Amino acid sequence: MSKVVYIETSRLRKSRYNPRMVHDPDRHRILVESIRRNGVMEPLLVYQVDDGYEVLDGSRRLAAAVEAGLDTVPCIVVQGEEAPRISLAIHFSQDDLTESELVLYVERLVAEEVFQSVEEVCRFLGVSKSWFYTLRRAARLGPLDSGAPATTLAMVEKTRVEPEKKRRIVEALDNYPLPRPMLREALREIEEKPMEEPEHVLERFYWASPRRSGEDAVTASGVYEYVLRRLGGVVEFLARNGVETLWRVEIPAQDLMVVRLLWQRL
Amino acid sequence: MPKMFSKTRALETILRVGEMLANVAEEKGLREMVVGRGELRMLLNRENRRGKSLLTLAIQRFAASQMFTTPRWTLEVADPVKPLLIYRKR
Repeated sequence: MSKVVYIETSRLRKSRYNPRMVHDPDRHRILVESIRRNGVMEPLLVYQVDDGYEVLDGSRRLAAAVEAGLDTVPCIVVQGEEAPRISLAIHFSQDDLTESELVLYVERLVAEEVFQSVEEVCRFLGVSKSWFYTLRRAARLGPLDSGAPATTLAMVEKTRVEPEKKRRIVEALDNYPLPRPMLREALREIEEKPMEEPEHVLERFYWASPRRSGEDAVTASGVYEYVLRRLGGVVEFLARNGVETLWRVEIPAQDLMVVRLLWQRL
Repeated sequence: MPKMFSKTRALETILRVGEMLANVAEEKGLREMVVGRGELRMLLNRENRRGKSLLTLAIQRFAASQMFTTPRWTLEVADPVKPLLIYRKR
């Protein structure tokens, strides 16, 4: 039976054999709050190094304990030589590690000659080789020059559609760049209408978003084409169907709130 | 201010920057580089992109470790607020 000892947080640091690279800030806050209330309930797994201890399992608990202002935390000390292997066994059963983290960790252990080959890692874990290669395919980075910014990609990723459709959305966004609020609407529609092609939805939203057509004019198209143009002291607002003007209003420029309301109604 | 929501994307952003730095280091034949925000801006903000800001967002919001280790290189975050990275070839 392993003995639990209390070790000062100042002597503990995260192990270099911890595959975790990114964490969820919300879950971190929950953990800090829980530790502030109840203390660290589950001991950390540590091993001794020259000047202190490295934490094999529990680096998030350690970070949260430091933030909560604890001086000591409960730990179980294990043998240092086996650290990379134990870490592999522990962390591969955790669900919230991303594919890239797992793949990078396996490749790193092979590069550091802890294991001879990827096959040996798979034998150690008791899984087939194809499991690892499937994981690696999922983790492979996309092309460096994907035009969309990471925040947009994150929005697409959060959408509840199949991966194939997500890829098509990202590709279509190169042709139809949308401002963030419009993209959010478009993604919601794609989610709600799975039968519709995502490219068509994005195209429709692209044409419906207001575009500057001249120095003083903005247009958007839906069923009709709408034009908002500034003429001296008034703002002209008209709807067109082809060349035929369906209606036209002139609004004093000081009543811009009205224009905005009208524009939002469309 | 836009927020980054996805852990996967944050990691991907950091790894991409690491790969970019690895390429630069290889071109210049360096084993170690200290990269400040000026260099990052030059590298990541081409064509009005906001790559540097996204990297800052990813590091500040998601970085659990100060050290990112891959089989080829390690990237140490010396300052997460105003990004200062130390790249080392392994």
